[in-house]
Amino acid sequence: MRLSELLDREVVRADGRSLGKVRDVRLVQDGPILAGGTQAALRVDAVIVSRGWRGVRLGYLRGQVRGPWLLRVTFGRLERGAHAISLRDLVWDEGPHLRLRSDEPDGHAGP
Amino acid sequence: MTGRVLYAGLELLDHQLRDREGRLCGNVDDLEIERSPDTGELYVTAFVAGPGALLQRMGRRRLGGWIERSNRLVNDPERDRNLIPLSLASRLGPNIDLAVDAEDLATSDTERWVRDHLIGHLPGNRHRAPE
Repeated sequence: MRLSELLDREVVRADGRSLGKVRDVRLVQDGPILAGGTQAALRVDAVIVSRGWRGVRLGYLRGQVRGPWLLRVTFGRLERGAHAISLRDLVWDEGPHLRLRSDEPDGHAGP
Repeated sequence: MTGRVLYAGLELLDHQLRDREGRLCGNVDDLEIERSPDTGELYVTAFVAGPGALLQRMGRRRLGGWIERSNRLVNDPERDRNLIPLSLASRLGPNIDLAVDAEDLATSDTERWVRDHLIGHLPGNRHRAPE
């Protein structure tokens, strides 16, 4: 499967209410060193879900960009509603949605 | 959480691929992910590069899929050359460095085809362009 099949997919609560769409995917490089390579495997850890704007891809989220101040504050406010939801808390079947197993996402997409 | 954290959309997608000589050889248009049979976790196994993959990501799935299948048929029906295994990556940064020659990647297929089938048949084709 491809990452693009995950992006823009709607995430819904267990009761069917929408939490927003997948705007980005968090990877953690904590797997074993790949055979014949030098990089550790990249595990798909969580999806970044937001109701609003696609601005999460601009990088003003997750505390990675320190400035300029005005942009950081503006985009930071726009992205405040973004959540990182662990893939373990989601059911990804053949349907059009990712469904939350319970109704409590694991928190904001901060660093 | 241990290990380096990367955001796929922000830090991998659309980033420049460079071959072992530092030559530009395409962009990351998508990522191939597979579920580990041992742990059940999803892992990135390969970068996907090529216009077909990009079109599919942009929502043009039918056209993108057709381009990918055609490319495979013309160049190597046995394997998907649009996939660049993650194990070939030597560095993940603003550019993604690969331990492979650009010539061996599908992203050079069009250029190679034009060189072999068109430019190569023109008079004076032995002239080498200045570096």
